[in-house]
Amino acid sequence: MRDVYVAGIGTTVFGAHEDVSLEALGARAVIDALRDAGLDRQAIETAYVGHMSQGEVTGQRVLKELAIPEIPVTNVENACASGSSAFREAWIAVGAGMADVALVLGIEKLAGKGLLALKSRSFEDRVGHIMPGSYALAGERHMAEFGSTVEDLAWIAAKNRTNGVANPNAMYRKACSVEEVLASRRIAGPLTVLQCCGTASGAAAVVLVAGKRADSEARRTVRVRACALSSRMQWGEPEDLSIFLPTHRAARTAYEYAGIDPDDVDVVELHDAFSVGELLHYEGLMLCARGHGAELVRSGATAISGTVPVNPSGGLLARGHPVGATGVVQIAELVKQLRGTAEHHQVLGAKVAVAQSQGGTGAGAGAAAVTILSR
Amino acid sequence: MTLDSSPFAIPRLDDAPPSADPTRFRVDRDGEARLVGGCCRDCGCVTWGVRSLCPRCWSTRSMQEIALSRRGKLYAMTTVQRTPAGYRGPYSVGYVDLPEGVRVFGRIHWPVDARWTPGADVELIVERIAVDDGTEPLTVPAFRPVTEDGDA
Repeated sequence: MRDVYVAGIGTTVFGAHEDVSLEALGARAVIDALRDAGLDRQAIETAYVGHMSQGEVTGQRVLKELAIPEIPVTNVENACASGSSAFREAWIAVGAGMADVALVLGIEKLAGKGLLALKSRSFEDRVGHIMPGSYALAGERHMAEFGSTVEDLAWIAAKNRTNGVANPNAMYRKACSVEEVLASRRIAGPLTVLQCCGTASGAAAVVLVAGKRADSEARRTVRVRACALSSRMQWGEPEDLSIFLPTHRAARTAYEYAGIDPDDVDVVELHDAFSVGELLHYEGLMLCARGHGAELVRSGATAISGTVPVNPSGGLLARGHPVGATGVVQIAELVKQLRGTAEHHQVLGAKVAVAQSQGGTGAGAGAAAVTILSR
Repeated sequence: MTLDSSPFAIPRLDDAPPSADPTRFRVDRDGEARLVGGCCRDCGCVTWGVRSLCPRCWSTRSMQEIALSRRGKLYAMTTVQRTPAGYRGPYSVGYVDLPEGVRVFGRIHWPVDARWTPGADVELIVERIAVDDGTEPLTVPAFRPVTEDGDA
């Protein structure tokens, strides 16, 4: 694999965008990313577009409105890990020498406000299961096995929502305390509504280039060190729900490939669709030992002022979750951190950044992606 | 479990609403609620619900229907407060591990205000769910704690 660099980033504000078309959302992010990279549309050689439910040939429908040349376009779906998966495909294409410049777009337009719901309707759904229920069950198991508490989970939500107040692109920008999180409407198990991400529409784009096109300091600043992907494909054997194993496997692969130790990580953007997710992903990403997520919470290490700030942008909880865009906006936020240009909550001297996302159904099928970037 | 002994029993066979998934759960003609499993004739793999393809050895049409155990161990449960449209709550759902090495999902009837315990012995009962959207009610598997003498 050749070295691959992030030459440009672009993102829309995340919001309801009722009157903004899918094409217009995508255009905003793509134009900003190309301008940031200082590249003309003719330079793009291939494009990967991550989305969950925008329909057939979404990438082509969006990019044709910008008169992008008729390059290979691949649409990528992996539920909430669609954007990260698209990014990974682009990294592989450039790294393998199939293209010198690749465009990644993550995009989603979700109708209405409220909690996330997936399309497939399983037996579990008919019994009365809900999407947050899967995370609630994982949280219950973690609390029963390791003694984590509802306060630990609420702290995560309060941290991220409050971080998001300073993020001009976030949709839900309201600070809240642990008490307010705990007192908010109950959803399932330990989860209250402020611990659950809200739907949003939005887009984010990234331009990746091979070494020979990273011919300016700006383009060479951020290098992609690894993109790992793992799956959840449970056909019926009981699995351990107190850890998200696909995240852990992807993390191990990524750290090993990059030759980086979890202790070297300076900043993280991870998948806090629900507070329980962040708690378990601390362990999956090996920011702490297995079962010690609550201790990491209580140490304050993942707060803005801590040793490894997690979700300084506010995460999914503050940004909202335009499904396909999430994996790509995480990359964009981390690129700003590494460049030193974060408008908010800049982690001083950040050199190594990790992005993690996961998607899937409550019925045993899903994906998790871990990406490592460095300066 | 027979028709007469459980507070959640279906009073008459004729009244039994359809199962949420008859390949996985049924109330039989003799009134017994059972979880339906598949056992592969070729490799012994057991699944919840009969499958036309054995996931382990890939034999087709090799799975025979078996009745899964009625008792198992509670793996995890959670109470759903914000129920889906038409579902009356709150209610609890969760996973139960059966001795066959299969994990099943259903409603959980745990005493209110008591903390659930991982590994607690639970037994199968049936629950009728009414969904307020004009559709027929469903029967779904449910589990309640087992006590020493078998009565919850």
